[in-house]
Amino acid sequence: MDQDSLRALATLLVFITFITLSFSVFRKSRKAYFEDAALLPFADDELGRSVSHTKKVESSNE
Amino acid sequence: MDAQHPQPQYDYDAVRMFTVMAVVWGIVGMTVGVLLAAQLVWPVLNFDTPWLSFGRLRPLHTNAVIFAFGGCALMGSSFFVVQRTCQARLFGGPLIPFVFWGWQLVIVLAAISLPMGYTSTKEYAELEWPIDILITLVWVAYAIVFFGTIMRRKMSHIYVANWFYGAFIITVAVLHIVNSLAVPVSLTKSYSIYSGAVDAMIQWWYGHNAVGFYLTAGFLGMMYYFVPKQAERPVYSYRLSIVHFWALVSVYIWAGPHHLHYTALPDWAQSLGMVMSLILLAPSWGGMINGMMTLSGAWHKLRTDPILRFLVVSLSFYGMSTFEGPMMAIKTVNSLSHYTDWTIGHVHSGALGWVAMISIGTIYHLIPVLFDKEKMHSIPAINLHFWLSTIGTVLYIASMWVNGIVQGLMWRAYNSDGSLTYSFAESVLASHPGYIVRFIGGCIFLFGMLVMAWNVWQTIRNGEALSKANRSAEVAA
Repeated sequence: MDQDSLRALATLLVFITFITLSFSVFRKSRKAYFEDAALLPFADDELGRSVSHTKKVESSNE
Repeated sequence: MDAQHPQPQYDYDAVRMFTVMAVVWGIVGMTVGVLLAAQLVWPVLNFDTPWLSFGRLRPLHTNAVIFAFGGCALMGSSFFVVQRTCQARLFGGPLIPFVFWGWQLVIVLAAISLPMGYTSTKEYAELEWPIDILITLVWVAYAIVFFGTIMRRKMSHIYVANWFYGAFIITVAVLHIVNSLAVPVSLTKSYSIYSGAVDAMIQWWYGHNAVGFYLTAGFLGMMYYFVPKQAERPVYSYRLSIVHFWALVSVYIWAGPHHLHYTALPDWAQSLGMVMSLILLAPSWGGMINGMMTLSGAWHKLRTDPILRFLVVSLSFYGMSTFEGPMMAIKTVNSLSHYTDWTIGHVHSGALGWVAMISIGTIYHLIPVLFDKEKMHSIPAINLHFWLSTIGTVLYIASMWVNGIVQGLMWRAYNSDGSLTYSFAESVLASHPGYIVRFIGGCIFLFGMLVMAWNVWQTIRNGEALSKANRSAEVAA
């Protein structure tokens, strides 16, 4: 394989990796998971407590 | 995330010491910077003393602000953030004080050896080999403490701020070790194992990634915790932050060659560095917008909260300098801007506007929490500091833009017979007014730091203690 094909292949691989990453992160099914993760800085205070508390109430209502 | 867990006992000893020392070293490093700015206006200020000459004090200034001020702010805040977002106590026992005292020893050794003239001559890596070895030991201990704490976390997910801090720790370890490889000839002198264009490329692979991972990724870790915390709302898009992380770390590492345009470095490497620098605009602005938009729906908080203003304005300076950077990396622009004061202005719009201002916001957030106080001693003083920092930075950047363009144009002007229109000394003379404005801007910024030191001191000594009811809730200042 000559050098230019290697470069083209590397570019293509990086592009595919980026697209795959973006899709896997923005998948609808993972929305709740990431919303929970975004609350980690508030784990110690009222904001975090109240949110995870409401979630618990919601799930117990199901 | 589970409210059922009792709040773990956090270890804030090192965080407290690092945060206070960040203020101290910030003032020391910026004082040296102001002295250097004054020397460029009044050269007599080196007093014909080698220890006070520009060439020796300049690396002292850069090392003090980057590694002493920035380092203490990063290490302290990372130890705070990793505990709070992992709901776990700091790992490592005796390694924790070793990281703090070891790092202070590195700083003191730098402050002694650089004015004495001991230097490896590598920019931002001037310290000689015995200090380099000490840095490596401290850094490995730092990594063990940080990643050990992550392994103790209560939840499966690792919060994005820790990813940025983690990338900063790992990459700086690799950069420092590879770039500092040298053959020692005595205790105070060594020679790099690299030579020629390879040496230059290794140096700027190190140098630019010190910018990318130390001064960007590390402080983005700070941003992803303290901006949501101070705004009291989760980050605008957590999912964007993950794309931001991977895009930023995979592109930054290639941008170094833009420091070596039109040199002996092969053309293809220069072009690669230029293209990668241009691509870098996308992840940089993605992160900047993510931080800014965290305030969407809560913009009114900026009116009343000067700490939040520090954090958000630091993001706008970040956005500005990450636009300016790729533009300056374009070879044709670079042929005008390189070796002029424009570069120094660009560095300081990042260093004062982004790094210092987000650290200052973080310190104002941290001090009351760490010392169990209700809030900072004086909120108006924070507001004053904010305006001093902003005005100081703007004066600094604007004067260096003007100087840079004047110098670039004067150096490239030539007569019809091919001779240069201006001598170098003429461009120095033309730069004199800009140097005065820069000195004034630096003084204003430094004065703001002194206001902060007073405020921090008053808060720790006299601040109203947090009431017991509030202590468990830990309402941020």
